[in-house]
Amino acid sequence: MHSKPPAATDPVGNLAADAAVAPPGERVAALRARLNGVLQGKQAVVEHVLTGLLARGHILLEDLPGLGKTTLARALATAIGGRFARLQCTPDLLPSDITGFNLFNQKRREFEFVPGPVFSDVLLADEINRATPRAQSALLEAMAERQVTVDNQRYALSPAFFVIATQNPIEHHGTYPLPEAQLDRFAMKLSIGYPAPEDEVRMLAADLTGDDSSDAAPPVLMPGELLRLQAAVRRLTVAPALQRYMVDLGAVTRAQPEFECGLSPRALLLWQRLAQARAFLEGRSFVIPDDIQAVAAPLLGVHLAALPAAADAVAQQVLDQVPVPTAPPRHAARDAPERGP
Amino acid sequence: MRPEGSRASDSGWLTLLLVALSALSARFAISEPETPWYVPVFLIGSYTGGASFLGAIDARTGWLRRSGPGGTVPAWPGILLGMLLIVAPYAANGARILADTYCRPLEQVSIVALTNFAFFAAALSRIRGSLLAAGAVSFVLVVAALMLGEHPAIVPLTAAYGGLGVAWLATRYWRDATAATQPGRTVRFPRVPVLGLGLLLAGVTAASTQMAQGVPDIWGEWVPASGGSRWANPAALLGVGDGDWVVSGPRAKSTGATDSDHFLESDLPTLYDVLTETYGEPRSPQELQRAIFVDSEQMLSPQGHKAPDSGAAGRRFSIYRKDRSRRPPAAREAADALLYVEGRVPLHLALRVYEHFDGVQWHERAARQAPCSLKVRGPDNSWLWLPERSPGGIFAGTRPHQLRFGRFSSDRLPLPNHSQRFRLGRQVGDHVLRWAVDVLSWASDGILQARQVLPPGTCLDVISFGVDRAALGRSDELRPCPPHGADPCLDVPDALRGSAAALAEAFAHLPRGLPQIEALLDHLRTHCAHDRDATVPPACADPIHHFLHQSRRGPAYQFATAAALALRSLGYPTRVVAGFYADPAGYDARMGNTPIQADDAHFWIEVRTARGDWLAFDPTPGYRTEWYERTWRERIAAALASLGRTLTANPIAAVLGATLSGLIWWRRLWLRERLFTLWCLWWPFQGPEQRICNTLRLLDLRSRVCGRPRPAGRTPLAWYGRVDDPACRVFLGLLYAALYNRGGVVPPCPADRLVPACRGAVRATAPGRLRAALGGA
Repeated sequence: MHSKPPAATDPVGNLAADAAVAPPGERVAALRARLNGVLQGKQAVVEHVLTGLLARGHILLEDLPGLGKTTLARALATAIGGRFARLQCTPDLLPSDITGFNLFNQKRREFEFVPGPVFSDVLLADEINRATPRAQSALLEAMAERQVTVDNQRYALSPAFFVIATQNPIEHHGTYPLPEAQLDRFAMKLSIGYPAPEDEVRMLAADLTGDDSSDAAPPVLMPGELLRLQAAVRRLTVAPALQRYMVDLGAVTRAQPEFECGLSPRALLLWQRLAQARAFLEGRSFVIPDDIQAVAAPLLGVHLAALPAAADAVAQQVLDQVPVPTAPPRHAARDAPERGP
Repeated sequence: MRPEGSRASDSGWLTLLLVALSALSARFAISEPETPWYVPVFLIGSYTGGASFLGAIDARTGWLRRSGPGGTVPAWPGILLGMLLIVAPYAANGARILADTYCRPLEQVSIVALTNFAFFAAALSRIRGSLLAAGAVSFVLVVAALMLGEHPAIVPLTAAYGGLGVAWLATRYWRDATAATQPGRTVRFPRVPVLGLGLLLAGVTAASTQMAQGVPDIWGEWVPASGGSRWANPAALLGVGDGDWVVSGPRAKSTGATDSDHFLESDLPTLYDVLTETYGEPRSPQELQRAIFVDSEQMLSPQGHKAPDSGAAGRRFSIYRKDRSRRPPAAREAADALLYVEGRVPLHLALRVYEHFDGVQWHERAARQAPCSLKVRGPDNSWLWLPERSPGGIFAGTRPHQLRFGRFSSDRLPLPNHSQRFRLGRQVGDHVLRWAVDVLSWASDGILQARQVLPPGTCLDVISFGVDRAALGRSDELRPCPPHGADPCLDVPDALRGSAAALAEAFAHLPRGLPQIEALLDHLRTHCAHDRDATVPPACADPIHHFLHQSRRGPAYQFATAAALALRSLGYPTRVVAGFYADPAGYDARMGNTPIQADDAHFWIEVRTARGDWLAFDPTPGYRTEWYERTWRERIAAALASLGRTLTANPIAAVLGATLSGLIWWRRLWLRERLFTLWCLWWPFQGPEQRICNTLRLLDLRSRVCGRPRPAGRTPLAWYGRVDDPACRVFLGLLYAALYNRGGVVPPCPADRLVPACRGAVRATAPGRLRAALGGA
């Protein structure tokens, strides 16, 4: 499947490709093309969605209604060839509506487990902030550990379990803001935004001539292919200096008084994985600081609870405070900090 | 690849423990003898606790360090705090000096400052450089403790330090080895450390071969000896260093010289006693007459060789001595010293001058009997100026010394050679000055004598000229005189004339002056061994021949006699001097002075110059002739004065130099960029990784020249990717691969592509193009 790498968008890709690690290949390029076809003019958003998918990080889409959040999620689920489930969150949603429940079968005289929508590959949690905190909490275990526990019985979810949640930032009546524990499970918070006028014209024209058969399109990825891609992402090199760089960035967020709570260690793990996924999408076998900075805004936006419009400024504020490591690796390893008295 | 059980992360605690051990030993070394053992322990314990607390605060807040481009470095608060801890002891000592209260010797202050810095560096041991500095300073502290201290706890503490130091070094080794042997890392030969170590070893070797003492003494020379604190307790009442309140106040307990015969009533040793104790008693003339078979004409007259009595004792010195009675060497107790010398040592203190030698005994020249013409000068009329002393010629700058009389009885002032002025006491009033002027007279040429015995506690401040060896070598001050019958300093006894001439003949062909004299003295030092217990047999008629060719060992007076007679044979007016030698090895770091014991009684020679000055030379092995060594302050002042003279003499060159300096300073960044560009382009000995990182440094430097420096948070690609040039993009790819890829840049990029890529980037990012790309001013 890894026939040849996609066209690199930075000058590093062609030189540094490592044959030992599989390049993304045509499948990823096709996946990217499929999503770009569905959501026209939003290549950056599509790249972030692909990054989160390959990094096994859940995505929170926060934007106005009608901008294509659900369309994007459905197209992604179709493209990766997995099971898709949609969860329309309402105030009367119960945890058992999410995880599933045990039903007594009178014929067989025993309880049977009826799985909920989390038993899918891609779960679209639409309007997630309309669910009560009690219902939201049902997603915590599923998102973090990819399993649910019902009546003291653990049920493993799909290894490729991937959550795309949406929420509306302007409506506050009847909504329940996501708690920090819930936000910490997400890897990125994205905002799609209005399309450009040209893209809107193209969209209108396509609506007249199109057959609206995106759901019926064949999947791009073969079964199990997504897991292999995710495993390949995990094997990319991250230099110790860059790990230290991320730790320093996390320390900056913890020391800033304007942030209620800084980055958690889980967030740092997600950051590293996102940077690996971005390097993978760029056709590189190792992570560079630009990868870390490229995913900083969506990651910090969700973990520092920043508004979508302020996410870029917050990320830049954090990034400006830590020097990019440019010391040779030999010195960087030697100069690693010691444990002092 | 890290070995099991190795925990490099524990280096911080190990370093703190290492520093604590070294600081404790150093504290024991500089503590007063009566200080209880628990005082240094508690003090260093508090230091350790403070460093731990500081380290914990830093670990929690990180306010003492920051992340730099090359790793973790100290932040400004940390730098300021470290400098404050170093400077504070010196500042406190300076304040004490200004307040005229007790101040510590410089080496003690330095140890305190080093201790402060070592603990501070150990607290900041999360920084690699700080950790290494703490380890290095702890080593310096241990060396200083071994050199300065005599406390019994120092040796076991040093042993513990050695054991812990091995563990520390092993930890460092494993950490660096682990870092160097990561997969894909290329281990390079450590050129810079090896070069530095080689230079250090070469320097030590050169110093040890150029200097008389060995390497251990050179280590000791690295520990500065300031010459003491120059502090006096005005209320001291211990006999040694009695304060001014005691000797000159309204209720003085010690009134200075007394009218009684001190030699008879006092049990304090005189120079005669000291020489007798050190070199044995002289043999009686009768015994010599029976033993020596010489011609009747050369038979010594018994009239002039009666046993020395107390009145004439010391005016003659016989080189025929009885065997010294064997006794255990006396402990060098500082409290029982004869004299105390503060100031630069080695120092020869002359008390007796012998000019005539009859083959058996040296005779002191008769005193002038003329009142000495001392001039009273100085801001408080306290200084007595000796005549006929003026700077210039072979004399360099002055050097101060302070001498205190301990358990020593003498009516002579032990002045250093070429003294310019001196004063008695520290706060000398008119009464004492008159006493000093009235009672002093010349005992012999250069030796001042008082009418009464100087009491213990007499304090003598002396300023003397130092002799510039280089200037002496250039001058013709030391030149042989034609044979002159009336000059006793050129007289050689007939019985010894052959031996002295034979010794001198070997050096007759050398250039006259200092080279000839030093060659002869070096021959004596290397040819014969110093042995205080060696004596001349009574039957020996030619003690010089016996000393030079048979025993080849002898005490200091044998060296002095042989050297004096040989130099006289060459025509140099020479005399033998008896007195004391202040040995640098005896320096007492705790008290800040050099005590002089009976073992320091010594003989040396003096050679008269053409202007009539007597220059001291020491022919005895192990004893150094003190030449003037300029201090760093004097060297800097001389260099500045020379520069000022040069600039004044060449005003046009001065203006051009100032203009050029201003231009260089104004364009320093541009100049640095130009030089670094040449380095990056043409310096051949750059490894792949180093070449790439140097190119990045050059780009950063150029961005500063353009007024658009790359912000610390911006990546090189985000900043320099704006340059629309393929060479620059290729270089950025190489840079990232070198910095962040596991295998580095070498596997994917061969050297034939690397060098052109870096040079292409250097050319593509010329300041003009970079300015246009970055949009700077």
